[in-house]
Amino acid sequence: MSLLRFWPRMLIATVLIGLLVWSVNGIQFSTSELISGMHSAVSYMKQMVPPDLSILGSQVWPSLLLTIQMAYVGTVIGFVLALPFGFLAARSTAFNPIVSSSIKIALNVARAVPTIIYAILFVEIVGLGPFPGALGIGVASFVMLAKLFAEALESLQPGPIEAVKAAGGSTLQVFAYGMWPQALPQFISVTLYAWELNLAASFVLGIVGAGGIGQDLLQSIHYFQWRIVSTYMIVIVLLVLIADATSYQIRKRVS
Amino acid sequence: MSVIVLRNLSHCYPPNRVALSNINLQVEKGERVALLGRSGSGKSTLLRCINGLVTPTGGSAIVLDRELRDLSEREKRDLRRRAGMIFQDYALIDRLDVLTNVLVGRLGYLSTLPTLFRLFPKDDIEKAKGVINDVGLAGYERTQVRRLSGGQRQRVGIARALVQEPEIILADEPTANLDIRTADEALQLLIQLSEQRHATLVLSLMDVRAARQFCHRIVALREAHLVFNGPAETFSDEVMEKIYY
Repeated sequence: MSLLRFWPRMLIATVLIGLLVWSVNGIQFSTSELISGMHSAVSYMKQMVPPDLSILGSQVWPSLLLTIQMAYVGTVIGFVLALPFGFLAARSTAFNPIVSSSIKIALNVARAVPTIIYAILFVEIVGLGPFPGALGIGVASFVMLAKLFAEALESLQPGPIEAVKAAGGSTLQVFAYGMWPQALPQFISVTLYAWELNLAASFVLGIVGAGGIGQDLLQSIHYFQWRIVSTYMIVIVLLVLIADATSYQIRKRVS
Repeated sequence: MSVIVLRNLSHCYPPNRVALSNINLQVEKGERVALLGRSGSGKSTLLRCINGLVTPTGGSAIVLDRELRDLSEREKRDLRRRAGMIFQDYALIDRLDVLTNVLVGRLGYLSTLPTLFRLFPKDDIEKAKGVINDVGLAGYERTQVRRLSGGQRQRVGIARALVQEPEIILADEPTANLDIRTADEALQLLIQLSEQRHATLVLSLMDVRAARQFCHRIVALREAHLVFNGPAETFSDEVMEKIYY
């Protein structure tokens, strides 16, 4: 290997290693604490079994429903808002390229904000509870879906669109026959994906007081109720698996 | 009577790719004209200029006595109804059934609002069913087009153009994706049905043999220029060599 090719690689490796050393110091990485902490981890795990199934009907079920409702309402809000903005942002459907680019830039900026930040903002605006959680999820989904809808619209096959135009179809007919049937499966697919992400987000949003199963889980950790913690964890894992399988089946059917 | 008159027709795609250069061509009512030429020679653009899908950047195109340059978008749509188009990749809506795909050909005649909800007048549905029968797909009305073979899909494409009751049929390499036998069958069907309807047929083809066999006249393009325009029987091997090599 020539020196000319060797030195840039050495430089990159040195920078990466330097960055790691700097970060490890920054986070006060401690192997000894990790090893000593293992003892408490094992002890917590022992306390987690058997899971307390007696709370399933009384505590878990209502929280689970609330979590599902929060994710669903948030996804629907996101979908409804994303539809018009997706069309405005897509180069192929926008009436003006400047509008399309501006919306895309705004969506990219808004995407940099995580769901939890939106939820915190809504907690400030409308108070604690699942409502600000759903609104936070709604805004985050809107931003994500609008961008994905725009990308889907830009990747449509031109053939059917041209065929409707060639038959003398109006702009709306071109949309309804040339674009919509092509775009719909993609819209459904990305919305289901957003719904899966939103379920996961709605667990986390419990931390900021949005209620649901995430909040209950956090509470039981604070009270060292490890058997209840394990029950919640099992339910969350099951919910994610069921959501994933359902979404996969629907996506398979529509694609 | 000429149904298509092109004078010095030119088209340039941005930034500066010349697709057509000074094309002069006249097509008579009821004629069958084959457009030949290598890929990228300008055949597709020429067909799209004829039905106003592409607005030429120079020259004039008079189609069915209307100068395309002077037409509003609304008038262009009216003209497109009278010029059915068939596409190489069929350009069908895969998720919809055969009947709805054929009914797309009626959209230009119908008011927008009901069609947005897939509501079509009975007459138009009957017309579509009639054409589906004509192309040999009776019984497939409710089949999703993605479940059809290539040959069947192109028959749907032909039916969609015919249901427009067009005076001109423009076909852009309609048989390019089909095997030779299916291609010949599709072409014969297209010719037979367009003759029955007294429609003029302009089709771009890759298959020189088919052009000689099925068309009255051959028009050949090379690198955006018209290099041959004459009766099919005068299209010699020497001319073919000049166009393709």
